[in-house]
Amino acid sequence: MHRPFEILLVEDNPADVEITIEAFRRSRTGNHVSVCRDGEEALEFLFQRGRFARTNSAPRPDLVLMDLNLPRKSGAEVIEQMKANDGLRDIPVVVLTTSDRDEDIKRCYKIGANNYLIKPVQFDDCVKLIADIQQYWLELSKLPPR
Amino acid sequence: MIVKYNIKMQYAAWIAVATLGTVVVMTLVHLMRDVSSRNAAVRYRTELTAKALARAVEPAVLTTNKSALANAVSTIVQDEEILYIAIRDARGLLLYQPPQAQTPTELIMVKVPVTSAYAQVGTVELGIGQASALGGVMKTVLLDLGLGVLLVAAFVGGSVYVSKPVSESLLELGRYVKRVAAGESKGERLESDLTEVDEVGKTLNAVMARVEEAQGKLTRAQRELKAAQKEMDEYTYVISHDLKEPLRGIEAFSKFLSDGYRDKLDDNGRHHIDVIRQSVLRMQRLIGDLLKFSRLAQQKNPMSPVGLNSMLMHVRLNLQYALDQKKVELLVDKLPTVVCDATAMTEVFHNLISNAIKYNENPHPTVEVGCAEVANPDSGMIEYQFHVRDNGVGIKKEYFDKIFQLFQRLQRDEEGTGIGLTIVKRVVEWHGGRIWLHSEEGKGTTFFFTLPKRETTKSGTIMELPKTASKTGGPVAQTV
Repeated sequence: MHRPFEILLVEDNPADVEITIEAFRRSRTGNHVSVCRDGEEALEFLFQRGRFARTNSAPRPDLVLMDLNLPRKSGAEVIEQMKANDGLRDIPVVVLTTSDRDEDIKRCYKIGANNYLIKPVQFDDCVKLIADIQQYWLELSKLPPR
Repeated sequence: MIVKYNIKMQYAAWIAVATLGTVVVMTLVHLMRDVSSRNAAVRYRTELTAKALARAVEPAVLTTNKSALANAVSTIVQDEEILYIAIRDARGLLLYQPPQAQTPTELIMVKVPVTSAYAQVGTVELGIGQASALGGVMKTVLLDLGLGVLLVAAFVGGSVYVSKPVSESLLELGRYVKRVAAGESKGERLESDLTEVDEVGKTLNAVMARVEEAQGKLTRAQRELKAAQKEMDEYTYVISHDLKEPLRGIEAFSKFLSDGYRDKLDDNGRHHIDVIRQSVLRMQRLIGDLLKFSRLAQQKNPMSPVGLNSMLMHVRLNLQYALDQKKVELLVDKLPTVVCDATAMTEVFHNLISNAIKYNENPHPTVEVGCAEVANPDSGMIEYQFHVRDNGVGIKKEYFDKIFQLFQRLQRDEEGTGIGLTIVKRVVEWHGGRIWLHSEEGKGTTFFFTLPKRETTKSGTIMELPKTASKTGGPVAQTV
């Protein structure tokens, strides 16, 4: 019914990466997930430079799932740079974090994050959330045509 | 009634009275001396006149020549103050008297014999009016009084002038003390030109310096305490968050193990995994409650008037499942509207009622919520006293304090974390209230807590209500 979407997951915690990938696997959507382990790597991936300078090594994502607390460059910094760039501004960014602090939530929306979600503790809830994210952002929502 | 004196007025009044008194006394003394000396002078003058007249009229007396007598009288007696003139012969018979002569009564009389060759041939009588003597005296009195009035005015003026700096210093002292009392004198020091006031000022300054020092210490201590508490809340928040991270891993991977490898394990192995899963759940609840606790402490919502009856309706809806399960009757009295943090206050009622349901083995469990207006035993201010009463298992007296401490539980149960009452106590206290309980084992527990009675003014600011004797909130039981 639709081509597989490109999703970029920016997450430093290996357990969380595995959990999220497993949740994607269980949601059986067939979408392709790339993983970046810190903010710097995410920026190189998005701007297709450094390690990702080679053509097709970093596909342009349809959706970015962004953790906030990252080594080197924080999730917020990555969002700011994406939203300052004409080519990347239209990619929806979903913040996926453990923080439910008011200041984090306010800041993320202010710098242009499209959605703010809190990571559930229960794995079952996590599976449901990942499925919901894909359904809402990739199936229900109309994304800008490529 | 106490009459209040102004120092300037009092000075002036005393000076006026004293000066006036002095003037009056001086005038009286002056008057007495004046009257006597004046009388003496007039008498002396009159005597001289009389003697001169006596010599002049001697031949006329001998000849009883009346026209010569009249002539002598009119030439010699020029003094207007002499009001009575009579010339008599040796036997005392009147020889001559001018036509306008007054009667000798009330006159000072001077009698001089008329002698001829050492024999008395007649008498010259002259009378001077006391009135004329007094007339001169009156002038003296008026002069004295005038001088007196001038003196009074001068002294009063002087006293007012002299007392002005005293009065001003005292007024300045008064204003300073007022500012001190109002707490507006921070850093201010009183100085005065007047030694006495300056002394008082110095003492007051010393007292103020010590008060300010003590206040400074208190403020610093309070600030430090607040900072420490904030830091504690911050820690609680960060730690519980950081604990969540590995917990998610344990939860997910124990689940993978449980889902994918259950068949490959023996009963013992499966039991181990189940224990891990249960521990994760418990850990999750603890962290969740800890986060709720620290969030309530950190993110204080604005205070606003909240109708507690409608709030209790929401609490009832939230607890509906538990109420139905245990067939608990929840009775809610008429409750007031109070100024509070609605989220936090909901938590208070929710926790208290939820405990009352949970720890209740009565065949007909009931929970009552009510409110009365009671005077605070310390301040005397009227405050709301709420109660949540159950007929449940009750609490031993030795645990009355312990139950408010973090993670303290009296029963082993799956759900409780022992944080609910800690939250309740914290919220009540930050709203300016107190919480305590009465309980009897097997009969039930009543939690009491107070909230200050505040009223919102039209401008939206919140003010404490003054002490009133009004009493509302009777036991009108009503199921909401």
